[in-house]
Amino acid sequence: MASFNFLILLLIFSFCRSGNLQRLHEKIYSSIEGGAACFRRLNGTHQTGCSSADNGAVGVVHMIKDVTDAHWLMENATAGPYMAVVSTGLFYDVFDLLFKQPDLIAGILLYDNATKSAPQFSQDMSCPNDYSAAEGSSCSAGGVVWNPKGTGLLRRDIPFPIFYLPESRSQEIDKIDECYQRYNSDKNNQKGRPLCSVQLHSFMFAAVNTEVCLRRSASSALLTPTKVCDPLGDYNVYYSLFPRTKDIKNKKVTLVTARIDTASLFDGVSPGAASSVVGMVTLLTAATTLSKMIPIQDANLYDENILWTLFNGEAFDYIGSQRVAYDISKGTWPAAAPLTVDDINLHVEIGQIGGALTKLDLAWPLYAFIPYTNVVPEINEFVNTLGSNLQHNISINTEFSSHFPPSSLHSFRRILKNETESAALPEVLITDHNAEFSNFFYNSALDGFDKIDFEYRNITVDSSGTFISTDALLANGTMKEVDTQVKIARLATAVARTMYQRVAGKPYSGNITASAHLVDEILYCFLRSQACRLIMAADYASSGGAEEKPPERAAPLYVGVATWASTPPVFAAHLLALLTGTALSANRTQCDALDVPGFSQYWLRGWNHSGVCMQTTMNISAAISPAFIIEDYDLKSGVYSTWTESVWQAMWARVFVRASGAGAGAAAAAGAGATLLAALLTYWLQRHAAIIFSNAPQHSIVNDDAASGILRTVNC
Amino acid sequence: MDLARLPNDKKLQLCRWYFKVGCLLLPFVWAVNAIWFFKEAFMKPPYDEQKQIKKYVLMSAVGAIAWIAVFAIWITVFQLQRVSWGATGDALSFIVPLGRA
Amino acid sequence: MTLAEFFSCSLLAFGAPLVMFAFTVANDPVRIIIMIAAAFGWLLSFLLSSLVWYAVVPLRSYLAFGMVFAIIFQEIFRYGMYVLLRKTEAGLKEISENHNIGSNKLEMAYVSGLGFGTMSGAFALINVLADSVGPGTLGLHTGTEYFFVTSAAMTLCMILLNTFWSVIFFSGFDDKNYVKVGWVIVSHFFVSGLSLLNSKELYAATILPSYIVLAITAYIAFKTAGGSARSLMQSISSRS
Repeated sequence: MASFNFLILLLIFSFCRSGNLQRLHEKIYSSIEGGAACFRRLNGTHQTGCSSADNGAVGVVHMIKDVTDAHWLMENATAGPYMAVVSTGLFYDVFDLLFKQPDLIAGILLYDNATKSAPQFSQDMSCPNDYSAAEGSSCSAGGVVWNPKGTGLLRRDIPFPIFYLPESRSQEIDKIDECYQRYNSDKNNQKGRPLCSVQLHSFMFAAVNTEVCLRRSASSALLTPTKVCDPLGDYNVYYSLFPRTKDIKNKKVTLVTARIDTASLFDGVSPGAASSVVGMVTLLTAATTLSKMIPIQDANLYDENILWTLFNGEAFDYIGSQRVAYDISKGTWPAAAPLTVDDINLHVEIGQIGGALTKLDLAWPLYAFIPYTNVVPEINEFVNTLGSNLQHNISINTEFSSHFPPSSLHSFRRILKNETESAALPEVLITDHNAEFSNFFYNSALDGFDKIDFEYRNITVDSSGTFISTDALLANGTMKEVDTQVKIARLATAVARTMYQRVAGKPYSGNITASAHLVDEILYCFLRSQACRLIMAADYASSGGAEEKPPERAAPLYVGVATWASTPPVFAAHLLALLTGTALSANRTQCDALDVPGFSQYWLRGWNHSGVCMQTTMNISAAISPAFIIEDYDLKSGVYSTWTESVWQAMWARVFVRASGAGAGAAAAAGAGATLLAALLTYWLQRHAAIIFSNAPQHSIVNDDAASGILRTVNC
Repeated sequence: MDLARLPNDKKLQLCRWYFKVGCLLLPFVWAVNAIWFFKEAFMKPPYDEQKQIKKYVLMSAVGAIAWIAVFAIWITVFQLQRVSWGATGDALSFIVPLGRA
Repeated sequence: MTLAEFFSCSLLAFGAPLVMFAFTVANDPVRIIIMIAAAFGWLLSFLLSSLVWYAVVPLRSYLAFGMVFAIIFQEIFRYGMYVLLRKTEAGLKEISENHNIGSNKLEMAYVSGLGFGTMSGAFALINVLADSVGPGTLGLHTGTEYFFVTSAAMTLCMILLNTFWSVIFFSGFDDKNYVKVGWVIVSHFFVSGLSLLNSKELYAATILPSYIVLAITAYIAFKTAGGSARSLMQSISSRS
């Protein structure tokens, strides 16, 4: 058919019907580019997310500009399934209505409009990760609802496809609106008219739940089974201040953790600025600063080690932290020098701290959630030290509550129950809210850099990798105290100093601080563009010198499927190696051949892009839920995270005009009539041919004897 | 093949042969046998071999109908119950449908 | 209206030719062979026209130019079919089981024309039909949904016209009456030229005159084949 169509293309439209050489297909359909589709995820008991039918979902366009439009759709619409086109600002007010009658809605096209921006937009549950919460800490036990404006669509089985168009694709919405004004605007007379329609295609292969889809992926009557779903998972990144090996008696460890991932309903759009990036950047900056305060050569002077860890997959029932807690309980993490629960004497999690960052307010109030009823001296000491290290505009207040926000603490509480509850492993969570989230865009497609008031300063970094100090930047006016970068740098400095005091036993008296310049660069890399200075310097150096530039957009922070490593943990790992590691004077082959216990060596591009061998204690470990590694695990039991993502082939959207049926009706009538007439005439003329064609010119066939002679001898 | 050109004993032989072949779990052969020889068995004027041809035609027809009934019942049951049979349903399926239970 | 549009337009364009085939051609193997041969002849003519179109690069975007060549080649191949059929008549009569074949000289012309027309109709409409199956129709940029109906109607017109043109054409060459041949060529140019107006969505302006030409051509063909109003009356009255 393809070659046939090519022949047609070459021949037909140059001859017969249309006036110009544009393909008919292009005149009918207009593709909607740049949309991100909502896709299907499954857990042990349910399927969530959206899917369309195999040949797409077609609906008549209905532009919802305010709530009355949505009411009209529900009550007075007549012309068949509709495609609701609604802006993010209005979505929270109308989504309830749209879900009431799923037969009437063929799909939703969600678009971002800068002029009518949403005051809140979160698709996560009002109580995120509630089913994996620690005992006594879920919302059903009473207490604060963390994300009250969350629609919960992330965990809901949506019966139709939803596509999201960012602000940069506003011309697609204009196209649809123009078509709508021409054909659909007469709302009361829509039936029986040609109508502007949209088709969304996002067919998902998996269904029912994780158990069924994994079973179907594994077995099949055909030789090679079709994979229909993949488990979610990726990598956790960890880095210790001092090296840890199996043989040497290791020091006690303070575990400082943060989350690296975020979630969103739509494929490829998960910026996570306030939900997770600020926490992660704080951890990275604090780790870098501490590594400068305490050089790694002084390891044997101290008794305490700091293990900075970034968990991945936290948005989906704490995949990363559940795995680490499970591994610790089995004594297999970190792989090179495993920890036991007794080795950890404090767990600090830097939770969601990006929601209240604004240039309009100098103050940045933080809270320390302490989930213990009795006083825990370790935690008190930590919070006091942190408080004393913070500047006056950043404050920290304690919250004693057994009901604490979503964080990795829940995983440790569930899996290492005895130690955490008895405070043998004391835990504390730092957040910027003590009741509801201050971030109204938690785990959504709109949680971008503008929500944390981030303005990139684009200051060059010299070839030695020195970053300008925060005080210098404030002094020459490049940054102000209200800037996000400065606030994060101040917090990172305080955390680093507090950790210094834990390690060294005395307050820090030097003048090393976290640089807001560094914070600026890291935020840019994770929120704006992967083609940034830090990542270019921290990347693996390519052998031929040909530098492959990463794309100019931010990498999505979604944890993704376990079979495909996503970029953010790789970036974080390389940044840690570059910023905290020691540069060795080795060439590439020597670097690759080195094997020092407690360290890894990486050949990175370096600040002058000529390659450098960095020795670091950084490493990565698999962030795959224990549910997928325990043999014969009951996926319905709910003990560990069981999230999987469906496989799909293509996602696309297009807009066109749907016929009213008058043309087809006319063709059918005319066709039936013409065929009938032809049948009658032909039959009649043939039957009476002798009479009718009586004047026919007769044949005078010269009997070609030669021909007849040959033919008569042949027996056909 | 035109049955009209065959002598009667050859017709009987053919009908018997088709019946025997159909016994090897081939209901479609039985169906063909029944339909093909129907005219010969019931609508032609009587001749010697016709009684036996009638017998084979009837047996073939009954056999084919029985097979069809069994298939129809199994297909109906499978289509209605496959989803509720869970893992067994998937194990019995050659092609498992994508995107739905 | 997706499958409905597809089937309706197919019925409109190919229903009548299919019925004509079923009644007059299908039961005679020689007629089938002639019809397929004529269809192939049309394909060859189209191939040559497309080669010319491809070769003349600067004029590719001008439909009218391509159209002129297409018509010229089609008529040349119609003449080719005429020559072929007249030369092979004797042989065909021998192998045919139908001993009346060729009793009407223009019987071959009719079958050949039907084959010519069907192939031209298929090429004209298949791509349009393929696009009519999808959920959308014309209207987003320019055009209306009536494009499909109009294309199908024009296709039917062309198929029938080709049939009658062959009858007239063959008769013209038999009797050395070149006025008839001229009518065929002129009306072919006229109808094809009308279809160029489709781009301006003047659908009525293309369909009506084309069907008028069809009616006139049908009448001429009928007369040429030996029919007349009187013989038609006779056939009706002789039945009763």
